[in-house]
Amino acid sequence: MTPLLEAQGLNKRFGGVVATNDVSITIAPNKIKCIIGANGAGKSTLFNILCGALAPDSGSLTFDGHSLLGLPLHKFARTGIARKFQVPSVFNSLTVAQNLETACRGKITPRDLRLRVDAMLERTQQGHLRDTSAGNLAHGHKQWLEIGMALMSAPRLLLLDEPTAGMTLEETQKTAEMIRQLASDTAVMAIEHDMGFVRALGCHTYVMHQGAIIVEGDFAEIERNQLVRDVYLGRA
Amino acid sequence: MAQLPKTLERYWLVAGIAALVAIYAAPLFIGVYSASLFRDAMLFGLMALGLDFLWGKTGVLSFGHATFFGTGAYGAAIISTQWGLDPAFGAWAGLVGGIILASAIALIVGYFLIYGGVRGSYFTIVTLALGVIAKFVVLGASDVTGGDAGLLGIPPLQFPTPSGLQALPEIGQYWFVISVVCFMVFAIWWACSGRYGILLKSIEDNERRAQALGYNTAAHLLAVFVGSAAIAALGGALYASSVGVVATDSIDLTLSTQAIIFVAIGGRGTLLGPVLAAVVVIWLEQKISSFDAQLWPLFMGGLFILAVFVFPDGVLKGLERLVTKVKGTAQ
Repeated sequence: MTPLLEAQGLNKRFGGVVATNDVSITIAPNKIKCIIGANGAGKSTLFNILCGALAPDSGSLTFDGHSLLGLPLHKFARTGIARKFQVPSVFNSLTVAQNLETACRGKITPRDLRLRVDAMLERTQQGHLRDTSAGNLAHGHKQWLEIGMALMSAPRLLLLDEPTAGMTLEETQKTAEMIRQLASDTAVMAIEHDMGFVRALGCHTYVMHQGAIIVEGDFAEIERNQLVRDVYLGRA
Repeated sequence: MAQLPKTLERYWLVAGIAALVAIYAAPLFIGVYSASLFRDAMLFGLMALGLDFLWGKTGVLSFGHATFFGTGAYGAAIISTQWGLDPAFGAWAGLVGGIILASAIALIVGYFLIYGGVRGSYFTIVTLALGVIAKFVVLGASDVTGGDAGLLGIPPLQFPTPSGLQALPEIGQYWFVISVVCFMVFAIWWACSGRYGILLKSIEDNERRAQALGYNTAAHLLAVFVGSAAIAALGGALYASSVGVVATDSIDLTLSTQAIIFVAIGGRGTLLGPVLAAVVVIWLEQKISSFDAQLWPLFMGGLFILAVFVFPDGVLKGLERLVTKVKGTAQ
């Protein structure tokens, strides 16, 4: 299958620090993939390049065959790539429903908008929070609201930066469940260091270490890999 | 509003209509002279409305809104008095020209600031400088602007009447001006009442997040900045043609400060509040200055401190909260 997103030979340095070193990854439509790695492995830099917030020093990045490099952030977002930030990044002064409405860009009749917002509230199990101000949400609900916002644009690729950071065990499992269901409509690329979550997803996984991808494969294989155990799991 | 019980909503509607009728009928009771003061205050209210559209809806504070009010006023004055136009045409050309000039300045300055990523207090400080520059330009180009003396003899707007194009009598001018102001308040309120208002609020809240959702936030902010400048300029141009005189006090820093005070007292983001605040504050200024001219700045400062500390979201909302509190204790 032709890949939806294809990154090849991405390099990014900050002064003397090599943040990503010749990273190449691909994701096909409606697939889930994870990138794992210890703190400082270069995950967030890679993520920022993939979502257009950072420009790589060299390498190529194509989405659906078109290069994404050099696009301003808002145009990047319009290509069909949605992202969820690491720190919950919702509009605190708006209600949950208004957050979702804002996330649904473009022309739509008020009736259709309401239906879509209702459907998303249902999907992220936040129907009872409709008119709550997003600033008053509990941490886990903020994360889900943000995933919901990312989905309002019906993206073809959803990028998740540590979607379960700060979540309880139970919330983490619920999030994994939610993301597995998403894969029927969209490809998902998640960056995580919570092993329980990646195990629950059980998807194809890349392991990053010192800016480079050292191993890739199914999570079950990754867990058995001695190199990965040494550099990452052994320390976790 | 949607959550309000139906009867309460009806009360608001009745109160609003009653207020409108009262405003239109006012000259018949308070006399044409007092009504003309009210008319002028409403035009400063239009400047406050422009500022509130920017500051209240997007959180971007301009400290130079008098620049746009003044550009509208001077633009109207210069075009109508110095281009040798027929006054019937010149007054309207001045109105339109003043607004276009102010919008163009806002577009150029705003483009470099907003697309350059200047936000928050930095934006405010640069717009502060804009106001200072504007005053120097006016004083420097005294052969065009009249310098300290200002410009006199600006023709009033003329309207088609059964006996040809004519300036309206005082009361007609009054009705025209308040109609324009009421229309602008309604238009901005209507524009911001739906998804667009939510979008602007989301940009205020977290601009980068809004960009990540695919919104061209810089374009939206620039559009609002230019729109808000155009509203202020409309106020200034109407002021010039209504009063017939323009001087540096309609472009300098003091007026910019007043615009901010009107919005702060009236309640940022309420749109109607700043217009009402402009009227009340200017009325108070007249009353207190006639008693003792020295007293006014003191009073104004006190009012501002009161607004910031006691009614941080404006007198209107402060009163609303007070009423709910009193009702709460009564039950």
